[in-house]
Amino acid sequence: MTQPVTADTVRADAARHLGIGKEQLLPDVLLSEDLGLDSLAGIELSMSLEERYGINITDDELSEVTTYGQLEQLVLAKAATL
Amino acid sequence: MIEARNGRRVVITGLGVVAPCGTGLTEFWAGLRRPAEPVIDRRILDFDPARWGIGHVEARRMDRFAQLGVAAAAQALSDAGLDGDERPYDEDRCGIVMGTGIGGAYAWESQCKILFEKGPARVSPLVVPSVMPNAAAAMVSMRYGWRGPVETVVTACASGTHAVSNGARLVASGRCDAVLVGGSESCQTGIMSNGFLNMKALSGSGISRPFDVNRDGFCSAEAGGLLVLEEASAAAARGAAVYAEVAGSASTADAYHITAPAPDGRGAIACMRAAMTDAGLSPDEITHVNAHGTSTQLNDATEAAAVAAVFGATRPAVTSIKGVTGHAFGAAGAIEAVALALSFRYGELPPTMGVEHVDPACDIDVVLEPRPWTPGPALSNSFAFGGHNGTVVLVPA
Repeated sequence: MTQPVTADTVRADAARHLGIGKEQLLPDVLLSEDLGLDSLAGIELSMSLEERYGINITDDELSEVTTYGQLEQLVLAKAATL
Repeated sequence: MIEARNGRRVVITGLGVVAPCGTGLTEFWAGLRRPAEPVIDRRILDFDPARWGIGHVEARRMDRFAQLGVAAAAQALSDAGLDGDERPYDEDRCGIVMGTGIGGAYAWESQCKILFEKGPARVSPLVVPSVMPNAAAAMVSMRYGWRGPVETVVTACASGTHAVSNGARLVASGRCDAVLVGGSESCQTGIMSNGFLNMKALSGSGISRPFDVNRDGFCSAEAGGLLVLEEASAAAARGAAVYAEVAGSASTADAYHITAPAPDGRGAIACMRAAMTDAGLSPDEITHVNAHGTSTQLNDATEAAAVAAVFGATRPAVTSIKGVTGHAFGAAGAIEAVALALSFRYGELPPTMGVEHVDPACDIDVVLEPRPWTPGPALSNSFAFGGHNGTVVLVPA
């Protein structure tokens, strides 16, 4: 693990990756409809967070994610088990 | 083209360009008349994807060559007046033919590093769509909804010229009403640049001086250039301004060597002759040749000999803009077609910069200063690694 993981750090890293403001990453925001991420962009975002926090998100886990809040919870849960 | 024409003429109605010497037609044209700094590796230092509407996430899935293509396309469509809400043509009859020599070199190289250093699980899911050479044409088609033939030509340094030629045929044949043609390239990565260096093709001095007796190789460049071609009567009906007509083109191969031109220039000679035949013109009607002129010993000697053999005593004015632009590989023929179209617009030939002493072995009329020119039939040549030759013929519309 490369840095302490909190909701704030995950949101900051995701916002930096997407080139948007942190305030746009509300829990209920939809990754596809609201942020315009297609499946490739979703995988890329997930991979950047995996690398950042030294975690592994499976394809099945990622396929369940539709909102930013779900992704954030997934990353926090994974990081907590390290 | 002449045999497939069926009365259809092809005219140039829009231009777009991004190049180290200038982005946009005004800046580019001014840049062609200004001596270049001695730089081996010529880049577009102020290129900003956001200026062309390429967002942060989108930019990460577009390698630089595709971004340059999108930027040039935006300009060309705006210049042609085809970027507005009004769509004069059925998008199913609008095509795109773009050339590139390499494709997404930066993604390829950076992802190799990630593979070797971090392992297979870290390889980006976007590497394939970033690397593929057709990405630029695909991205442009998605932006504007053009759904006709959308294709990419990969013939090294002749790609851009072949793309102009192939696209013109789509209009001449009746398949398309409008096409975007040209190309883009950005491959100044460690692998590619050192490959060129180690094959002794790159200039050591950083001075690009086509046809100079002391020429010592090309200076590499990144660039994008696109042209809008339309069927002449439809362009006239909508009141489009026309730069020139694409009257003919040709493509031939040396079938000789993977990098060296055939020493007798037979492929280049055959290409220029076939292009003139296609246009229904004889050599003594050609007043200008926009040369491939890379500033390598071999290319320039062979091309000069080929031009001399084809035109004899007519001696058309020969210019190579690579003295300024450097060699943008698959985009070279595209930005040179843009430059030639601008010569029609401005009635002037840009100089071959960097030249101090024309090689006495190059028995051609090299344009060394900006030269007033009465637009007339003119050729643009590209000769590529692989032995691919391309020529397009432009005439006043």
